[in-house]
Amino acid sequence: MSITWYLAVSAILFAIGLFGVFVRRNPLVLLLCLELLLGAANLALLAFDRHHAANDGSILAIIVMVVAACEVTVGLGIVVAMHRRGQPIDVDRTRELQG
Amino acid sequence: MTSTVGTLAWLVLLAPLFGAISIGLLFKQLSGRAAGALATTVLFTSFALSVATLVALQSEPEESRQVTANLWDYAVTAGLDVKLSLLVDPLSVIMMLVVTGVSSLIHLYATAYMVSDEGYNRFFSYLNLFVFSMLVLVLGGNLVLLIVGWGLVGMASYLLISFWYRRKTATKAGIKAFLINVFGDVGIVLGSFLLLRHAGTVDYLELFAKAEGAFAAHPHDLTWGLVLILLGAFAKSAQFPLHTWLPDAMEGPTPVSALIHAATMVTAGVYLIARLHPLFELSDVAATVGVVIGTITLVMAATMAIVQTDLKRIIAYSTMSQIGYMVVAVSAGAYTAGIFHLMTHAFFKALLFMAAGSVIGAMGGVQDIDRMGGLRKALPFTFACFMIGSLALAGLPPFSGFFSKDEILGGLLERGDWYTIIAAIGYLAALLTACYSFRAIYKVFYGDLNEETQQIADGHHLHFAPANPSTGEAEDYEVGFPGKEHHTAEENLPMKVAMGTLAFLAVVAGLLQIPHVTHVVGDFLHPTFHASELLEQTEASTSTALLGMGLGTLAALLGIGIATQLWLKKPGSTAGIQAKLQSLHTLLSNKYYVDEAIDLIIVRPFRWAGAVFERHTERLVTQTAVVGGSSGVVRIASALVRAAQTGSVRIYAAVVSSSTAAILLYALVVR
Amino acid sequence: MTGVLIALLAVPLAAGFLGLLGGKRVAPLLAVLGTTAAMVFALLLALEVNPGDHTAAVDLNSTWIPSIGVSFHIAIDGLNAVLVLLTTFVFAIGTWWSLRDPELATPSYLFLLAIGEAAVLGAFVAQDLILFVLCFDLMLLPFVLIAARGAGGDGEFSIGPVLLLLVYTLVGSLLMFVAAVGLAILTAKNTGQPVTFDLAALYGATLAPSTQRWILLAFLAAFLIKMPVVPFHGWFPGAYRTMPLPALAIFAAILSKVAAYGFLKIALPLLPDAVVDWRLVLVILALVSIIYGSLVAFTTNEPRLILGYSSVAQLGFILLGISSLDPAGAQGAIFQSVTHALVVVPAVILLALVSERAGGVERLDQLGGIAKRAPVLSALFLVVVLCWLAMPGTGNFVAEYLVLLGQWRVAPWAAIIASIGVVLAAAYALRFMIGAMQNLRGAAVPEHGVDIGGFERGLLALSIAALAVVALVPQLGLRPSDAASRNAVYPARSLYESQKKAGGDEAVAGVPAEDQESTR
Repeated sequence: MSITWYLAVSAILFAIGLFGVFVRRNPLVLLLCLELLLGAANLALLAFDRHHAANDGSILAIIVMVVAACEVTVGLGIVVAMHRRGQPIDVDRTRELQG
Repeated sequence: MTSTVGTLAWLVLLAPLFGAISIGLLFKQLSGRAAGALATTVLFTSFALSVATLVALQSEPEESRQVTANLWDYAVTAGLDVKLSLLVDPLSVIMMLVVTGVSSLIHLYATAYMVSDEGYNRFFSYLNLFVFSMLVLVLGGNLVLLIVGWGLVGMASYLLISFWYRRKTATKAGIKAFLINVFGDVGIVLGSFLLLRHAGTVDYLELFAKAEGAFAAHPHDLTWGLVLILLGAFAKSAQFPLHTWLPDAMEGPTPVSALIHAATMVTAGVYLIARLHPLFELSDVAATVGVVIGTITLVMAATMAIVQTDLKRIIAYSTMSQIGYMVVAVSAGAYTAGIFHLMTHAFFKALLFMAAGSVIGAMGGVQDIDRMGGLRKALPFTFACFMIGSLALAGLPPFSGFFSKDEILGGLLERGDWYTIIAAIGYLAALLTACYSFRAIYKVFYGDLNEETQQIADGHHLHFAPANPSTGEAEDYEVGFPGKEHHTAEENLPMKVAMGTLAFLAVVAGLLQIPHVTHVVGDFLHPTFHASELLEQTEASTSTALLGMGLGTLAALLGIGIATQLWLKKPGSTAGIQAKLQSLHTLLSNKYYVDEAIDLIIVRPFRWAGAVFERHTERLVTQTAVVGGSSGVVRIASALVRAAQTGSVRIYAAVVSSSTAAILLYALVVR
Repeated sequence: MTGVLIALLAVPLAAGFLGLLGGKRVAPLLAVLGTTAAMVFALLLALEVNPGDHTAAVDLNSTWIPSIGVSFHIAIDGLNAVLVLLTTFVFAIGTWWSLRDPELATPSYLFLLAIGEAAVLGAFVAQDLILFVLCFDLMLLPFVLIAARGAGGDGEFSIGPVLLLLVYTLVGSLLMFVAAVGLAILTAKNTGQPVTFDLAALYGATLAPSTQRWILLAFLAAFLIKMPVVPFHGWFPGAYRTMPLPALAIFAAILSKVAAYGFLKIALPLLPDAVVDWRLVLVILALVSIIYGSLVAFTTNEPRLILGYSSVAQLGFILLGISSLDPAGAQGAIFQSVTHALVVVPAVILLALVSERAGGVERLDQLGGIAKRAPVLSALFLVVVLCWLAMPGTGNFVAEYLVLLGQWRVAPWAAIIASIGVVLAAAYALRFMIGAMQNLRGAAVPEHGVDIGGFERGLLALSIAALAVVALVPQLGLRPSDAASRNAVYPARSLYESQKKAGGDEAVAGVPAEDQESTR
């Protein structure tokens, strides 16, 4: 299989994820879309790995997966904390960082 | 031998400082009259040491009677060479003797006079400090030390004038005296710069040695320098127009008036001119300024004294007037006469103030002569002293004041030219002097007893509720206000002894310098003034001297006669004269409105400027600093940048991704 | 001796840091030890100075960042010896006084003061331009942080004044940084040597007058804002109001003097042409500060601001001495720095004691009559006030005399105007004393007062002892810097004199001045 297909899938996934980040307001869905973005990147990395018969991409992909896991943990923790304090689960309504 | 003179001089100077500091440190521990006794003893010691210095100096041959005594380098840098050095010569020794001698007697007087004041210890600490300051002034061997002494004297006089510091009129008088004094300080500082520029030194002896050569090419600098220094002299000696502090300074306790405003501080200007005489002789203009201002003052003060109703202020104006005589004398070259008059004046003026203090004590603090009368039987000793003092002041032979005043006027007559006019004015003022002094005597001691003075005649003192004599505000007897009891000479031996001694001196001191008979003072001062050209010109010849003495006696007798006529024989007649010359009377009792003029021209503009700056300009500056200044710029810039912090995650994401895409596009497509 | 020099900077800093780690119980003791040790070191170093010599007595030069020419070069010479001693003394008294209030003197506060001390000392002993600029900027930060503790939230003050202080001063300082870098780079271009910031190397090579002008402008921005000089003084009322008094004592006493020192160490020797061109501007700024500052000090009713505006006036005198380009003026400026600092510290202490006796009120119109209730306080107050107004006999007077003498030699009219400031100083100082201590009891003063205790008496006695030393033997403070100050003004002065001579010849020969300049 030529690499092009994998890259196309990766691009589509990336686009879907990006679109989701822009459009969706629920933080859980936002995190989901972030995962999509990361997954798309992983796919591209592994595809290139396969194509060039190298290992660097795989190693990077594993690192990305670890980082993704940590980031999701923290993110979900923040969402839970927000919910516990009765704050709205809506990214547009949380503007405390506004300068 | 020179080191003995120097050491003795330093000891004379340091003794009162030691006294002031010890009393100051122990002020809570000393009780009763201990502080007074300590201070007086210190002063008598200082006087004894002064006499020793005199003896030591006289044992030197005449050419070497100008001794300098250095301690250490004070400020030696950048073209300035000032050491902590004293100049001990006849002029400074005679000043030293007068200062320590009269001060000791005043201390003695005050040990009894101030005994009921809560601030007794503080008083004597300040009094000693004052004497120390005055000694620094007269003994200092260079212009910078003179300025140091000048400033210290100003400080000490401020402390003593506002001694009753809870009294607003006293603190006001104190700050007024201090500020006028600082103005004089500045004058001397600037004058010293001019002198330093060409002579390269501020040391007296070096300055005098180099004077003629250094200033030959720069006469204007010398004149301006001396005029600026004269400003300092006028401020300290209360000469027109810097005289306004002296009447107000009567807010201080009477011993303070006796010490500062009779014998010592106000004579500093006279000393200064006499000390710098080699320079004044090189500059006619500066000398003339001295003579003119001195003349104006002596007339002005005499006219103001005639309408005064406050006993102490009458004596204050007479001081101003007599200092005017001295300033004229030393500016015109009659140094011996001027210093001699300084000495005799110290005696009889201190005596007059002390006697006034006794009278005021009997009157329970009242100083208004209109409320007095007929006190001569009630206060016989005080009366005698006051009479002796007034006779000396009026210049009636054979009292000391006659000989000293006439030596001045005779000297002016001898010098001739326009100085004759000055002498004529001087005789006229002498007439006025005799007139107002006896006016005071008649109003206080003669005449009928009124309700209040009857009590004194019966042997009681008057007592009033504690209040400010001029404004009537209520006070109390605690620290910061006068004490409860008042004291008279008749009841207090220390006061009697002090006054008696001064009375004796006021009578006999004239014998020291009878024209063409004795010249103790002249001979003594010769080493200091031997290089002077003017001194010879003002030595009155026998005929001039006789003429002068005649005129002087005539003026005194006429003055006493007029006073007797107006205030003894016909006590109410002055009311009619006053009514006829009402505007003149108003002018005189308002002191020629000089105070008001100074207030208008100087004080108010500064206050107004300060207020404007504080209220308006400051707000402007702080606001522009905030708005227009750097802080404002930062604030505006950050406000602009802040617009990008929307707090919205989605917008951040959009921005990040679009900018990344843009960069990638640029990198891939364009490059 | 170089070890002592390093210890001078390191020991107080180490003491502060250890105190921070050690906690509340250890910190005060360490602070006392650190400041005392610093004083001892400073004294030892000052004794090394040879008065007739303007070169460094104790010198330490080690490489720091060779690639950009920055070296860690510190030295004690005539110019800074007395100032270093003064700094350690002021910090010592300020720190000991702070310890009176345990709430104030937390370990972090003491650590901040220690940083401040090290920075100020560093600025004084620095012989490398970047090191100087670094310390100049650094010394401000601890005081900003200290001032900010009371601000914001439930504190009494808003953060505004503190920010104003920070930003305003920093802007000037950062401009100076740019100028410093520019100076070194341009000098390197001129001489062809590699870039170096070492002052000794920079002294030798002077730049073109036009270059000097903008560099001087930047330095002036930093120094004039710091001193402060009217009209760049907008930051100080707020800062004076918000800073706690012990820190204010140090801040008011010392920080402005670094600016004065900077003039003599850097601006005058390195930029003589520009200084001579702008001498008149500096003189006028000095005179405006003196008169304006004195007048507002005379009118305002807040004791802190009376002190502040009087400092503006006194710094005006220092600037006057510097701008006279005369050794007497420079000596006067240095000595005035010393005596002014020695007066400010006890003055702030007295201010605190007075306000204590008036229920914390700091308004002059509500004070009065404290002397009756606290005679010892009143006596000490009097002594300090007399030094404050530079009464002849005090060291402050000698300093002003020298300043006026220096300025008189160059521009007599300026000395005359400045002497109005002398009279005004007496007016505002006495007004303050009379208003606070004398007359009848003020509205805020309770009927029964307490006199000051032993600790305050001790602090004041120490300060007054220092004032007495400079009053009796001013020569002690003047001698070390004699040669150094002459050396500092020499380039500018000789330039000024040659310009005046050229101007004088022009009058005789009839040649216009511009042609004269081009031949120079």
